[in-house]
Amino acid sequence: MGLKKTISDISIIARIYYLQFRDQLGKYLFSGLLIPLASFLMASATAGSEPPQQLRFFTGALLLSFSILTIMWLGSILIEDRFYGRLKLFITAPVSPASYVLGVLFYANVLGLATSLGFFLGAQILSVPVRPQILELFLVVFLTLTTFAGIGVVLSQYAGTLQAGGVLADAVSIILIFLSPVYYSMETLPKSMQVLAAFLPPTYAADGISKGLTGKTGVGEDILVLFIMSVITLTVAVRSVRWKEG
Amino acid sequence: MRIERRGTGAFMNDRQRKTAISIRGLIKRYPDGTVANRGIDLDVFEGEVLSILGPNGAGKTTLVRQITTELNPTSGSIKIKDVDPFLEPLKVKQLMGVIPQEGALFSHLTVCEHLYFFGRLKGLTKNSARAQVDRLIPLLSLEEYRDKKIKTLSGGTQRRVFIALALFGDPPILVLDEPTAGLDPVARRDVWNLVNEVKRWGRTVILTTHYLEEAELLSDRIGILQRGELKRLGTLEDLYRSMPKTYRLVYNGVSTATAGVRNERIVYDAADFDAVKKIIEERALTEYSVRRVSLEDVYLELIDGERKDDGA
Repeated sequence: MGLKKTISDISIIARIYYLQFRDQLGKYLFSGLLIPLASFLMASATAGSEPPQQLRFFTGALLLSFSILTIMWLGSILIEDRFYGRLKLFITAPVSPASYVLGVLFYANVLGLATSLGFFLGAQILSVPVRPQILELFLVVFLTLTTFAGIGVVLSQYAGTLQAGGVLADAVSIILIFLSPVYYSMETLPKSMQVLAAFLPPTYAADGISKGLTGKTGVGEDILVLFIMSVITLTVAVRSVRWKEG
Repeated sequence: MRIERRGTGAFMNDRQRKTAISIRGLIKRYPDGTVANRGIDLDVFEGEVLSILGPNGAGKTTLVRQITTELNPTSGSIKIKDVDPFLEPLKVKQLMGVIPQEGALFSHLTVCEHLYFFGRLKGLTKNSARAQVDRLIPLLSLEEYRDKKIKTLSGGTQRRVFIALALFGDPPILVLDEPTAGLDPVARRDVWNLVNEVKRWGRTVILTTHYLEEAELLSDRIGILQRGELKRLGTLEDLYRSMPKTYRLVYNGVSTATAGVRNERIVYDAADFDAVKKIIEERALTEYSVRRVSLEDVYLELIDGERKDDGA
């Protein structure tokens, strides 16, 4: 299996999932855009709409969207693929587990990046004060999506049943966002929670996106931590995929 | 209970045939201690259809999943066209088209998209994948469903798509794990016709089934698995000959087995036809039926015999 076949496999797997997305556009608009947007408007209405707060809530809404799309939604699709037997089609085809995982991550990144563009357009409409550093933002968003989608893959493989997997994916996607300092600052969390938050990817994603949106320096540290987290998640995801048992 | 095991080299001409799948001393023990395959030796020859029969839990799917590289054997070896599936799983997968027992199709794709994408995953170029889609769709009578989404198709039509997927890339070996399970009789017959067609193309087919009629109709040879052991292997004729009594005479007559004299349906099994003729002549029977044993008789004798041995 050469590199050409691997690249072709990754793009085909991503296209298979993209076509599923094509079928569920309404669900995407609702869960990937409307719910996060509602969270932004609600937070702005209750906690104030000063520029720094607006920026934080905007970052929170974007991360909530990523989490819903990649962990909750994509995770559920992958869980269904496993329990309904669709994963068997990949397992019995000459496709490596790494190509499968990378194909899923590729799809998640394309979806997430397109969603980010939608959010940035929305930021203009809602007058959120953003001065984006495109390269830094791209890297933070890419690594965040890779990490989140990797978590979705891992959950899909370890779920004991279809129902348990669905609940797990929903819970993890929400808990990750609300336990991390995404809608609020790290300092407002209790000490024990701060320790926990230091190990959660959204902490660095929120910090990196905020900085990237306002043109502040120091995004490099977040990119480095997210890079390490994405490598770990990717490795665990590839190893978790059950191409072979026993 | 007579257990006859016909393994590799049981027939003189087997030695002259090319082996597509070679299995030696295959043992599969699951982590919970269940032993699903107990030392299976089996050769599947090029161009033959081999059916594997057995009750639930006999180890059929475990055997198939080791062939398709989904499971690692505990010990023993498998060679697919001389390639070790555990060392080169991707190479082996290119030699095989598989219909997994619990497999499902991507319901959001159209038939054409599904075939094309999975053809590409088998390593075909864009052009040859398109060409094969165009060739396989009429071959499997899927023309009217070409642009229909999988979720709108009946179970039988979906099974035809599965077979098309398995045939993509012209693999020399097809592994069909209960390909007609859950299908209605018409759809089942469609699948049988397709398997017969594939057989005419010279492909090697290994299929597991619960339907004895399916095995009888499609197979060159049949293996019967029971509790992880290959208890019988051979042609239908070989399996019939493995029975101690191969003819069954049924007639209405007077039985003395029950209290009083009653006219009853009497079943008499005999080792050869001469014995049957003798009974017919001795009793001057004018109305009777004689038949050779069926695959069902062989199967039930084996399975029931094992149960009786266990005192069940």
